[in-house]
Amino acid sequence: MSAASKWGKRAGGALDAAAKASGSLPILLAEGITVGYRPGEPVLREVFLHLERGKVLAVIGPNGAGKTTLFRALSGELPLLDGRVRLTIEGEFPGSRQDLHRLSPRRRALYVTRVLQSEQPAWPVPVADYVEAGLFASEGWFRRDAAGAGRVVAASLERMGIAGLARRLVTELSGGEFRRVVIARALAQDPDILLLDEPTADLDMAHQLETLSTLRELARSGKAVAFSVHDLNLAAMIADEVVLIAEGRIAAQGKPAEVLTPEVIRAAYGARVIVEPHPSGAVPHIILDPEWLRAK
Amino acid sequence: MRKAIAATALVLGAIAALFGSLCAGSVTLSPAQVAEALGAKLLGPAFGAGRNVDAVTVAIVWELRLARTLLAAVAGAALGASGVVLQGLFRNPLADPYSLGVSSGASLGAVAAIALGPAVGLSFPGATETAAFFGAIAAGALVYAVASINRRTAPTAALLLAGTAIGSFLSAFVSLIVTLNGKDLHAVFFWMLGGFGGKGWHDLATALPAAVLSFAGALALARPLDILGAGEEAAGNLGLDLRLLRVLAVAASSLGAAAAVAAGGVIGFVGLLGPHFARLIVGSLHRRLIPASAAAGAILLLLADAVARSVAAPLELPVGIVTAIIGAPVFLRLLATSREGRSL
Repeated sequence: MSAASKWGKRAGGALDAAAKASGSLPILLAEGITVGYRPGEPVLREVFLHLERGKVLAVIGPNGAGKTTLFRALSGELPLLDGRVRLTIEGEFPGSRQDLHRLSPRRRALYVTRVLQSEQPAWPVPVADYVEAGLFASEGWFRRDAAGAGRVVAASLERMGIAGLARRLVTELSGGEFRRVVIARALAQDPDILLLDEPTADLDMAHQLETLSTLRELARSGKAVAFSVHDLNLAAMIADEVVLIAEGRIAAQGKPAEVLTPEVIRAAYGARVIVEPHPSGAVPHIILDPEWLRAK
Repeated sequence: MRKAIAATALVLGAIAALFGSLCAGSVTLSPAQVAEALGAKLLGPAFGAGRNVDAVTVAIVWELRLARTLLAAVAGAALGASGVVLQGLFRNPLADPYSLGVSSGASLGAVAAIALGPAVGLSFPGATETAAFFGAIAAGALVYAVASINRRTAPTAALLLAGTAIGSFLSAFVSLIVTLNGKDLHAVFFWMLGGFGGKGWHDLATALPAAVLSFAGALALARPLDILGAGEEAAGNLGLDLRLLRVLAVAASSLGAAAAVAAGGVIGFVGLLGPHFARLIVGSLHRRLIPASAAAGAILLLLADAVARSVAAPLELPVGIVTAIIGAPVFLRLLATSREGRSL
């Protein structure tokens, strides 16, 4: 029995299971959201998108296009200038779709969380305690069940392959290790929707793929997952769907093969690329055009 | 296991410091004398019957030393807990209970009471302490209010900046009042340096409730402060209500600092070193750190008070001088070794 279920979150268990089986119910909908940090200065305009259980969405776009801003809006952290973000989690909000931005921070964190691109722990805390923070949303200001929490933490560490780090201090880990600790904490938090800001930045090739396959696995277990990424090939390899953000709008949206075309990429990034089938199979493979490089 | 040992050591340390402080002073008593005097007072004549318990010793221990010693312990504990709460809120080990300017508010209250109280007929026993207490609380509330006006600035950074600015502002009025009322200079000077000379049971009864309330509040903040350790953005995604934490942390720490300042004046460094030593002993989790820091603060202030009473006996030094002489070098060491990229 997880800490979350004690809090009464899983009232509609049967519905939940049915939805997971069908695998394609949108559970978060951005309905024409306009987002920015100051009124009258939108960073993103009129974004429509939805996240589904079992699916991985990749958000791509040039530097400064607003990928993180989009995630901040989808996580409920950033107030919207216009539009709405709705949750339609089975059995949770009977009779209505819930406006995400009206929920309290704690309630919100039960449904959706954003894993930051970088995070700086202030204190030298053991990894296990750092990961236990994931249970805050379900437990609240006071710890309830230390033994149960210990089990959730151990399982989360195990799943990220870092059980051996439990007693190490978070301030003394390598970048790759710490990244996995943060994802383990999100696993302990166990929200329905996970948004990950450039989860592969600063990771080596193998760790990039490992992290992304964890995201796939999370989706398979019934989560809705979105991540932002600069490497278009990683997006093509992992994502079910790709959203390209450029110039404050969604420039393209669809299956990787539909979005990742030379024309679309040229228009968004100003870079000339060659797209061909990946030698291994069905996904597109994007290569910078050497002629264009020379011309620069 | 190690943690249990550390906790036991802190409790035993606090008891030892308390006992040592009862022995120290212009008349040095042996631990046996102190124990006998306490026994005679607490257990009644039956205890004293078989022993040679001197009435003067009992009076020294009970009337002159015990109340002020307990007061010093309470003030130290309040400073230790308040310091660690503000360090947690600011995610910075260089913050202390006075980072929000409450010490300046307390000073202004005390100075106003000393210099202006008699003129307006507000001169009663404990007026200075009362004014200091409410001055500290008012300064904390003012800083919080000012920091919350502009919603665009990062609120926690705004708290720190507002604390500094309002602290300087209030200090200017302290200086102004003192300048215009030169005759009170001596009293103001000694109050600001801090000390427990002449304090008794009455002062303890006044300081204790605020200190206890502040400590209970601090303990309730233990988990949210741990969550905040990941950073404000990450904490928000973990479900932390930052605004609620901010207002409660400011309230609990201001109350604690106000209790301490009303008890013994503006005593520096205890609220900085208590957390520092506690971190070395129990680590960084707030559910252990807050009680440990309170214990460490109590021990530090008990020892400093004992030193202040003994080194120049029968003259008593202001305890703030002792804590600064010991504290400043330790603070500098902390500054030199704290991790890079940090700014207060």
